[in-house]
Amino acid sequence: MRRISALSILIALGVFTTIGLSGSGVARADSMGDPPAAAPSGDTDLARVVVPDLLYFHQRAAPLLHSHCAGCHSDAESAGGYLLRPLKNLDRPSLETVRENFRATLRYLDPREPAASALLTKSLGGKAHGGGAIFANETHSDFVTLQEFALGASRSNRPPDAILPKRMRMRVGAPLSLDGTLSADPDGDGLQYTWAIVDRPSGASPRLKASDDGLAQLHVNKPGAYRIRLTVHDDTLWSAGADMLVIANLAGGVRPPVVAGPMSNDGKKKLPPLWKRRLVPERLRLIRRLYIDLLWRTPRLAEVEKWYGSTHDEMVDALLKREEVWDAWYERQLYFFLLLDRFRPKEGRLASLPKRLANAQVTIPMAVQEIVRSQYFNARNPGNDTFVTVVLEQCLGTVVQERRNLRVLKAGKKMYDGYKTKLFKTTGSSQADFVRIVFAQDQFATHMLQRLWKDLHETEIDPKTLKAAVARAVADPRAYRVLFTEWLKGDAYVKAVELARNKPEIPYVRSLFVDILDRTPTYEELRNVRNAFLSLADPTPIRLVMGRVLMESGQGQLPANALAPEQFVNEQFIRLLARQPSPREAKAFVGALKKDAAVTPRVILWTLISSAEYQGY
Amino acid sequence: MCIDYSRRGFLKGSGVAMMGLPWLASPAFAKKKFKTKHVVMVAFAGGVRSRETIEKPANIPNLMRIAEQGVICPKIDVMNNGHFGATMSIFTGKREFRGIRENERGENPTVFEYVRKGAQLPADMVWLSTSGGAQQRNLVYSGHEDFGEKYGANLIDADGVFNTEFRKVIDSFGRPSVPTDKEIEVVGKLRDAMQPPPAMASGVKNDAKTIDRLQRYILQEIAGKTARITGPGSSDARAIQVAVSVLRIFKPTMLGVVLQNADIAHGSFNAYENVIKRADEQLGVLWDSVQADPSLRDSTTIMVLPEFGRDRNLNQRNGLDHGDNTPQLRQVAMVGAGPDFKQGRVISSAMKSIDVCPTACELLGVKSDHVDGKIMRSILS
Repeated sequence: MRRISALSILIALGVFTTIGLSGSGVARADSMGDPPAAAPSGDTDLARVVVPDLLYFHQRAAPLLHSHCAGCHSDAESAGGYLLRPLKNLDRPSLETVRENFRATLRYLDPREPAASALLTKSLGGKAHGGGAIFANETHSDFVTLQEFALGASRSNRPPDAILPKRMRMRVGAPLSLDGTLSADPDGDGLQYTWAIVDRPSGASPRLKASDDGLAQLHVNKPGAYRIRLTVHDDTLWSAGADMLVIANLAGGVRPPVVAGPMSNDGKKKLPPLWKRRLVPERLRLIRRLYIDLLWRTPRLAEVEKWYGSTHDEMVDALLKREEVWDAWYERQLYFFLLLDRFRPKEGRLASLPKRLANAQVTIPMAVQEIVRSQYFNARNPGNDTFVTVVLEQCLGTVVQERRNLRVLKAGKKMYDGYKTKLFKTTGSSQADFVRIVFAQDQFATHMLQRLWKDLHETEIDPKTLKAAVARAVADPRAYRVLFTEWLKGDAYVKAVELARNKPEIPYVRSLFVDILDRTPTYEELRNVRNAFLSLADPTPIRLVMGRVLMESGQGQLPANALAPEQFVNEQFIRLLARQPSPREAKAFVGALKKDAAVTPRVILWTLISSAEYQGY
Repeated sequence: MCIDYSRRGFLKGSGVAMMGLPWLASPAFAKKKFKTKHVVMVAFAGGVRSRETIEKPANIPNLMRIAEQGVICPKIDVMNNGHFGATMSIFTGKREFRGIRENERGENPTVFEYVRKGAQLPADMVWLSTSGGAQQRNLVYSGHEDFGEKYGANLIDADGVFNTEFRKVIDSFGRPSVPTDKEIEVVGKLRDAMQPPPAMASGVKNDAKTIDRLQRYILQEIAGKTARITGPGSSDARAIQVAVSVLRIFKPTMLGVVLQNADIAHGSFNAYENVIKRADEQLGVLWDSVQADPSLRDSTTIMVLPEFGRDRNLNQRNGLDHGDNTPQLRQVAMVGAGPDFKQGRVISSAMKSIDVCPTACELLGVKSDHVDGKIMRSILS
């Protein structure tokens, strides 16, 4: 690791001061715009002053400036204050030319706030750059190289990368946990974390309690927008700051209000049972939505009661630690890859995936890769053509029949067969190499995250959100799980609960078993019933047949008589339809139970289960 | 009548078709009223070569029997774009590119949507019977904004419902009773008191009466012979058996059937031939049931064709793959018969599998605006 001596800092300051002064002396609008006032002020924190590295500039930055900027900036008329000498031999440019360009470039760097340097902001189209935006966004690889140069990268040490979610919501009075541990150093150096509140509503006095391990807690006393910045340091270089916008609401934004749980605040006095209280319908629906999306089944009454007193975010966090959730996730992947029936994994390491996922011992992309590398996937997709086609289609979303993809298909098949071949600019010579290379593509993250978003929201992800998510997932595979959590907690997910959806077939079968028999189906039961459920375009008749079969099986837990009809009717509505009965419904159902001998608890249950409302969630 | 499937016969057929061309282009033809009131479209999918069908009539005596009353079209061009894509092409009249494991609906309207929308039919008049696989379920409607689920077909995947496994599940819990009149009455009263269900994307929906008929039919068939069909080609046999039942119960305007067992050819040529023979046998049953029903006999048109063929040569397993792009793969034969078809003819003019959808729509008097295929006028009388 490179250490900066005090001398080198002073030299750097001298360089900046000298060139900065001459630059500020020019002080006129030009194609590159005004150069920055580069001299650090007297109170500069010397430890944070960046010393750009000439050798790194020579090898990495100079060729990029030549290709992106020299077109305008090598001509004195259009260069404005930033004149670059063209590099005659790109492979071995003369040191003198590079040194001159280095000096010219330093004028557009800010040694105190390198991430805000004009070189970078102008390249993104800011600060009246005559040439407009050179890079579409900050994830462009050439921009990243220039940013690393600005942050002081050398051949032996590159700056770390601070990573934070772009946006979070919180409630005033409840602390918000911040997690900066996805930040990373490309050289594997240890990191120190620095948190700052850089923007706040007027009059607010937020507090930020940070620990050394990259975690922090934010407490706010006023609603409004707060901007939190995380910067990380690898003992030599600082990252650019990662900013996160935190919106604090008094009532939790679009979320249903949190309702006190079964215990009152003092922990002594018990609240009335759920069915006796006036319940918030959105909260009930959200609990059911999460259960069906994550566990592929409806919640039991006790589970509804348990979560009703929690916030949505608390519920998401707790559920994602449960193996049952990852069991359902695993089954969804097997279904996606059609590893069903005789191709379904029966034993081996794959069986432990849900547990490892629940304990965060394996990342989501690694888990998918384990499935694709398994003997079961291989058996399901035999031969080079099928295997390569299916992996490309299902992992990257490639349409292999398209002419432009034929070369990729051919290369993949060749690699699968053991021939040394290049695929996506990477050399490999085996089936395993092929899978590894496919999973290393950014497109894998794009395809996977598109799928995840659609699973949760039943809508397509917007390109901007996708782009940001992909950048995070590519930088660190642990981000998939973080994104999964964020999306479940996000407004889009919460708001979507207002619109009912059809229960998909497998969650429907599992819910039917839980609602009638108070147990989930065995795999064999599910498999045999699932195929039948998928067999009709309008599944209503087969759903009714199956409901009737379970109802009449004698294995359910229904009382012969409802001794407390109000409670019975209320509880069936809550657990089966995620709402309380309307006064009209309560009157009709309770009245029928009390007065009509033909109306038994079984009839009530059947009425609700065979209703159109039960088909959705 | 025997079909002359010799070179001379082909030439004769071609000549007839050529001579008919000027007349076919006349406006009088476009205004023609057809007798067809029901169309049965069978995708003999899974990859079936003409060499094992019309070039080996002993394998398909029943299809040849149907052809005697209609036509054989030996030059149907197809694309080698995967079973799913190629099958979808037959039903949409457009070339469809779909992945091997892709499980999404297409963007182009299917023949079912054209017929339901064009003829303003309820769901129980348009059906698809398939032999299994989640992909085939996507054929019942598309994601097209002007069509879609509200014009989708009813689907029964026979392999999923009428199989031993589902019957075992039912048996393990005990067969349910039929609801009594009293129960129907009290449940109806309670349901009337319930608030209307929230709106949601609903897919294909039937009315209460159709749902009731379907429930009864499912319970009967689970106990009946369809669930007991086993062995190679059993999924296809069940799909055709369901099609026979659907024709009997609902007498639909449009009925699609999708087979798939012929793909066993990858591993065994002999098994592949046996699948063809078994499907032919069942298609004979279907044809006979149409002929035996006075309400269907003179108004039903049937068209049977594979989605594509298979390779010219056997693979290392003595099976047949599909990927060599030879004419054996890219050209298949269609057998068709109906009140508006020529009788006992071999029509050797070149046509495409995407022509079947617009032809079916034309016969039923509905528009098919989004197709790329053309009406197969040369097969019409």
